[in-house]
Amino acid sequence: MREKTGQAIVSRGPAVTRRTVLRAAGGAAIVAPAVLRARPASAAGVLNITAYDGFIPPAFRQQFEKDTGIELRVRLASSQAPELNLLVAEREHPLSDLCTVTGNRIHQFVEAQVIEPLDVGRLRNWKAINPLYTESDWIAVEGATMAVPLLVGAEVLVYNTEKVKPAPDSWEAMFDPRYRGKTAYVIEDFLQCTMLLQGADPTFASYVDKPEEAARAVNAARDLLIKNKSQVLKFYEDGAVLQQLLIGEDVVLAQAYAGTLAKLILAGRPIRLVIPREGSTAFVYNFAVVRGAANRDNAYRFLDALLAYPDIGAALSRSAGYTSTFLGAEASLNELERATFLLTPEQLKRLKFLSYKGQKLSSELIDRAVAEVEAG
Amino acid sequence: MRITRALFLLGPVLWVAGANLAPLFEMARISLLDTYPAAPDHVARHSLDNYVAFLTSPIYRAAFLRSISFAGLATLLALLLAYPLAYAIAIATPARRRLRRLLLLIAPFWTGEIVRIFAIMLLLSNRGAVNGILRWAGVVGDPLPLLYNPFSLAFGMVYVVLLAMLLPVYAALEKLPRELLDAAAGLGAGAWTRFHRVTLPLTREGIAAGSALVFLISLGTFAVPSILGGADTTLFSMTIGSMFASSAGRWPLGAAFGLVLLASGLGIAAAIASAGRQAAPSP
Repeated sequence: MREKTGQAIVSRGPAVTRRTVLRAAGGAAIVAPAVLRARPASAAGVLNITAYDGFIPPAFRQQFEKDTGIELRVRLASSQAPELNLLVAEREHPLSDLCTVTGNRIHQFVEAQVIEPLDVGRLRNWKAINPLYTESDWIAVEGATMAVPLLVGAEVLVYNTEKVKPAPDSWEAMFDPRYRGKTAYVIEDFLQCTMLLQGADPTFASYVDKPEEAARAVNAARDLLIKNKSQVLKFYEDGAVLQQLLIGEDVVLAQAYAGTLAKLILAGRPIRLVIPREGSTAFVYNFAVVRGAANRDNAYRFLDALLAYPDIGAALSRSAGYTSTFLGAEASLNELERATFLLTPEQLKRLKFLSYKGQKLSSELIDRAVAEVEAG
Repeated sequence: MRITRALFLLGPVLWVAGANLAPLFEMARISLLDTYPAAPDHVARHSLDNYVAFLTSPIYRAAFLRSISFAGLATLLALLLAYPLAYAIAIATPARRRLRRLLLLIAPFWTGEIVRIFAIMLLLSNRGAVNGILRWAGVVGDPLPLLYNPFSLAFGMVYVVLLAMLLPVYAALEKLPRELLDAAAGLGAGAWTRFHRVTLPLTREGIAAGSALVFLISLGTFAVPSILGGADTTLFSMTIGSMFASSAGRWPLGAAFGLVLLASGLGIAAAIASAGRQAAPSP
């Protein structure tokens, strides 16, 4: 019920005048920071985690929440760079207590001051992890252990068993004219696989003081990819796209992360993966405590619970599709799962783990080469 | 009254400033930096290096020109498809049925863009519906390569942007005074003459508005080339996207390229819209 009277619109409530508007605006300005502030990251019985899809097995999560009363709030991350950008943006007031970080990126996260050293003494089950991973330099920065290794991801050559015969055992197969227009890869990753094929060091660790040698190696790989561009149907970025390419048989041979394909293999598709004889690159996925985490105690409780049983390692493999770092995790896997998730000692020997040492040089050279392959 | 008007305008002004201008200013600021996000102890250096990189690198220019070409092609194809459709509904359909037919055309656009793009992927793949029908009918033996090439990219782009062309053209056609067409017919003008001497000139503003809109959307589209494009169809939006997503520290280059794309797109779209206005006669 409003009526117009001269200069102001008057309702049955208080009159709207210049003064009331200014008062309201002033009050709003005072209250706004409290209203606009994000949901508090710190609350009793809460743990905020930024993780990749599948990195917290659903059954474990349910059990953990039931046993401890701690509510897990999980924010999904898709890859390292966006996750790092997000954590940097939140650095003053972290909204996560735990984050996912790959071994080759740990130094970047430390330099950006978004993660803090791990207090290994608080993890009773630390020894449940294969020492190959806990004693590596991927998780240590200046003598301090920074993260809990969870899963091992490797680049693999994936093929359709009905269309690619005999089974390939070399990255060379990606350049085989029989599969022209039937291959797919992530340029950045396949550049490194091509470097392996050409006998170069895809981790860049040996090139740290030899940037010209590194540039020559990257350029040689780039040139081979440009020369054979007609071999590739699709430069993909998203694992879901590769899955569709393989299901639709648009592609019969591809470079991929093992985790992308595990579900297809377990679903009975005629797809298998191999670590070629030249080797492949690999990295370890870790959980790290975010610097200034509001729920640090809950974070350690969660990490210790995660490491408590080898079965949880197997569940992690099933949900994420990668090899577990937990000792004894393989006992809970069936034969097909073992063939899909596990790395044999021979395969492990062929893996070159990406290192922080070469990360900066690698980023500079590979980023440019990727753009050149796309445009070439 | 002034306060009421100010309060009424406050929301839209805040929205435009906060949602449209603020991100652009932030991108412009980042585009002048040497790296972003930076470590806390990093001393920022400001320069135009990222804009110079665009001007001096043929790699990036190739993707940029490809984007302009595909956006132009998508605009043309969308116009060729949308105009007859809009004409059929606005001119050749009785008034009482127009809304129903228009809604039928618009209905697919109520679903998300990603869903529609993946639907195209399922349609055109080797084991997709199109190849399935062709093989079942014995038209082809091996599946036709319909995906991950310029064809699938153009197909997807046109499908995604069609509505943006259809609605302005439909609006222009519906406003067309029918008496003019009747008068032209009365003076002995045939169907073609009526179309190109009356209908087309009087709907040029709608065509220009739709074309400018479609061109801008096509230029910036990211999902379509990412999902439906192939090895030879990398567009500038993907180059920009990779700088934000795949490597930390390259946001400034991505921000500079994004602003170059925005400025170019707005310039071309403004030229299209202006051409439409200048050419359109008064009814």
